[in-house]
Amino acid sequence: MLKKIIIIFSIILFSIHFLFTAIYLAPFNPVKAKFGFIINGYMEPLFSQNWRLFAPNPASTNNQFLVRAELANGETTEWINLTSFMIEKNYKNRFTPYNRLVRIQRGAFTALHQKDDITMKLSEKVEEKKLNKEDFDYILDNEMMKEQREDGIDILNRYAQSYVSSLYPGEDIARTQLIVRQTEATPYSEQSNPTFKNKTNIHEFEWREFEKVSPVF
Amino acid sequence: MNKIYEKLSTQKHMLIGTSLIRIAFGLLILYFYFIHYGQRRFLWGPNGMQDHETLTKQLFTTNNFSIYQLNDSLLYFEIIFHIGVVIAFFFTIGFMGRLTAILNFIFIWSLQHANVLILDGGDNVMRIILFYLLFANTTAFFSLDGYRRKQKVSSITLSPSLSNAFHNLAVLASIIQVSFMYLTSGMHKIMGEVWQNGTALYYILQVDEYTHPFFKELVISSDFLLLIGAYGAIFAQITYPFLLFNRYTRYIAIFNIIAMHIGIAIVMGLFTFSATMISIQLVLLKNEEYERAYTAVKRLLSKLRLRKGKQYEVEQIEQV
Repeated sequence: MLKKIIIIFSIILFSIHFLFTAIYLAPFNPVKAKFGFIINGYMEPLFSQNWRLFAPNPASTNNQFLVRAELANGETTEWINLTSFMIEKNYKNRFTPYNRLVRIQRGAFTALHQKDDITMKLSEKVEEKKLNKEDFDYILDNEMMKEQREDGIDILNRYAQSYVSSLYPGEDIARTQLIVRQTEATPYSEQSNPTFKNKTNIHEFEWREFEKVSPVF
Repeated sequence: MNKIYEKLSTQKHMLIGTSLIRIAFGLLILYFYFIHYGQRRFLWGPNGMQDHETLTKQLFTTNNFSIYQLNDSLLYFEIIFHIGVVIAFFFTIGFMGRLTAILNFIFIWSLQHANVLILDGGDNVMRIILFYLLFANTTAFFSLDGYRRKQKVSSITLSPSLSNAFHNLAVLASIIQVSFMYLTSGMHKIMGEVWQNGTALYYILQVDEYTHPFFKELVISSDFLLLIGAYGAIFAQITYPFLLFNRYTRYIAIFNIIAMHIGIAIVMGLFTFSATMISIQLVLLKNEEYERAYTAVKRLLSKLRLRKGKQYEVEQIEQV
């Protein structure tokens, strides 16, 4: 009898679990807006998941990460491309560490601007001027987001510095600077237009004092 | 209710499938550990991509935990990392089933959360299914435990009806999880403009990390291929859960999904993601189906051998 009770209880828990999972995974909706914090509280971190793989709008810009270093003797190096050589290596052979390493840069850069559903909706409305920015600054521009951003920039810089120090093993590096060059995809309608120029966008980060990070290579 | 109860508690279903998925996941985890062995300190170490303090703080604010956060010495990191490898190996060969499964889950959880930027959807779903499978028996077949059990009668601790129910619910949970995954992924695709108008692959394949020059040329040169790719992916994903309900359409669902993931692996180069997703399909087949497939393959092989043998005889005679 006890066994039967335990099993029936498990079935009920099981059903509730997947009900929560279903709501958690659904697109933004009224139930989520009201009970999101309960659902997220239950799901995260143990069952955290995100299946918007390449949807609704897939990534289509190319990001090139370029870094330059200032050596202790005052000399500044050329811009070093962190992205291209990895991509080439990943084309030659998919069974190398580069297969995943190449995705870190994009991930860290995207994370700088990442927002959850509710924050995203809010910032859209603010941008459309339907809501007053000051009223929602505590959500849109709070300490946690600033920290998240700083951590993201930190990761990108450490990534770059680790690579630079492997390129200049004997040198004394003082500081480095990272830029991200984003190139937007050629629109489908323009693919046969030979004079089409892809939009590019340069994202410049501040110079960063050199820190000794475990080498990536 | 009684019928469900009976079905859940009288026997463990899909035992071959759960054993196979253990091996497949185990091998993928070992691959993950070894392919990045050279960069381990950079990726997960205390003075790597993320410094130890920042990581610890981040984990704390998200109510998360990783055993890698407990100490900031390189020695500690190395010890934990290598213990993780050994546990993954024990998990793969099915040694000390449940205990190893729990430890393996903790170590994989910790490794994944020591650096989330290197992960993809495959790691995410694997982590969740590894958790569900803690309640299942994954060492009934092809395992060291199974081999040892044959040598001597083992002691059963949990009452069989309870352990059967947990096992079956765990298998069901894994199947529902992967169904939800495809359904949401498909739904979000339908909501996207470029997926609707069939140009999604055109855009994705322009992103250097998710493409290959040869296949990019090939797919982009044909509007027809672009359409098949975009609509095919949506169709395969949305229909997946519903096709699983029927005994025969199940095969179509599995076929669609495997075809889609082979495409993703080859064209986009996301092969560990694809391998993970294809491995999950192993849990969808019943023991009888594996046995039938096995005997069919065996019969085919022996037929081939027989024909070869006959051919050989004929050749011998002709030579004489």
